[in-house]
Amino acid sequence: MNVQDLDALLAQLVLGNRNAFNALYSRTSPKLFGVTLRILGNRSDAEEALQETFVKVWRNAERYQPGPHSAISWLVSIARNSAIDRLRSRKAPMRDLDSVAETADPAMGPEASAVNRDEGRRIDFCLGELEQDRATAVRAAYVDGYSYEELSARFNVPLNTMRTWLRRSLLSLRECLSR
Amino acid sequence: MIDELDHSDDGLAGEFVLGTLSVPERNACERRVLVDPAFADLVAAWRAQLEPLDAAYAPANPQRSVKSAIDARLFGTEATGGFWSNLWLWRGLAAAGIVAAVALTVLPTSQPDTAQLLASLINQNTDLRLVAVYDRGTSVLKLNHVSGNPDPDHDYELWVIAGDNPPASLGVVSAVGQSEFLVPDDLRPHFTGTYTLAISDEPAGGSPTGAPTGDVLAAEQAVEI
Repeated sequence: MNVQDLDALLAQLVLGNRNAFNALYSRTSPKLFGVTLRILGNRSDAEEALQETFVKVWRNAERYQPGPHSAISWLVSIARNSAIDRLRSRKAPMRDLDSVAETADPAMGPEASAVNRDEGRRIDFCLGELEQDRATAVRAAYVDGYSYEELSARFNVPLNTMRTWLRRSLLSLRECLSR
Repeated sequence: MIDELDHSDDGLAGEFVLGTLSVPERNACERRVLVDPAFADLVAAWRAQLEPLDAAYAPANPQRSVKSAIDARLFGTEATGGFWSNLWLWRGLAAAGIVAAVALTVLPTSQPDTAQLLASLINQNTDLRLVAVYDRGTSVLKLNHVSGNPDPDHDYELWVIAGDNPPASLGVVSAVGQSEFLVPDDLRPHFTGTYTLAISDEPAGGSPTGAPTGDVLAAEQAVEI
């Protein structure tokens, strides 16, 4: 997917252009539904979160600042926030983390670019520099929306320890990515 | 043990992007992003760092009914009010001057028998920007004065020019904001064919002669939408 295309569509949203909104929806809803479905784990909740995502996108389009990081990243962040907010607000049983360890998932959406693939390889490399448990916890938190409570239960460490793990892992990741 | 990220905004921004915070903490961060540019920058930086992880999300197709539900939430019952109250839209319309292109899609289509005509009145040398929409069904001209104010002791006056007719005054334009004119019976025929709306600079209270006396600051042919 062309970054400039999405930038142009988002600019049209600020003008209230519903055709642009329809085009944005048809281009990005599969990716964003992939986000909410992965985090929420069932279609019904995921579709509610997808609705919230596009309502926010329409209402807040003027907050998008075109820049080096693409429109799809901004859209995914709104979808993640919508899904995680919904996830935190519901009472759900602990999820099974076993599948998360294998989520070094190279499957890219159609918008994958050479830049994304390079960045993906770099972050995979940098996650590989962390202890395996911590890398798994970072992925589980970011990709699947696991809370500190869920992660501390899964890894059988106190919540504050998990919090320290993840904060340090974030710093290590940033340090590695900036090399 | 004191972690170097403890209590720091940088650490908090990282955790916010990672997604691990509780609901109250997340809500506080979301509010802060809107009012605290430094914190917003930290969040943006973390988002950029972690964005490559987004590749893990495999696309999936939602049911078609989701889009209908979104449209109903956004445009279902308040399309007209939403349109008129959307300041961003008005700024964008007047600034872009691409009225015809966007107007086709932005106005509610729920009243198919009341044709609406729209003109964007812009002076490229000043910040004068107005957008006008005329509803043939109700004979109401809605005017959104986005920006630009007359000099002291001056007023802006709005005119309609139909065909070869001389300009007919629609009145003095109020200060920046939205206003509505009920077009009088004798002027309604002016709004049937091709016509132009114009803004002139006049003495306070409007033209003393009934015809434009000052500079014409903006003029635009109305387009059907």
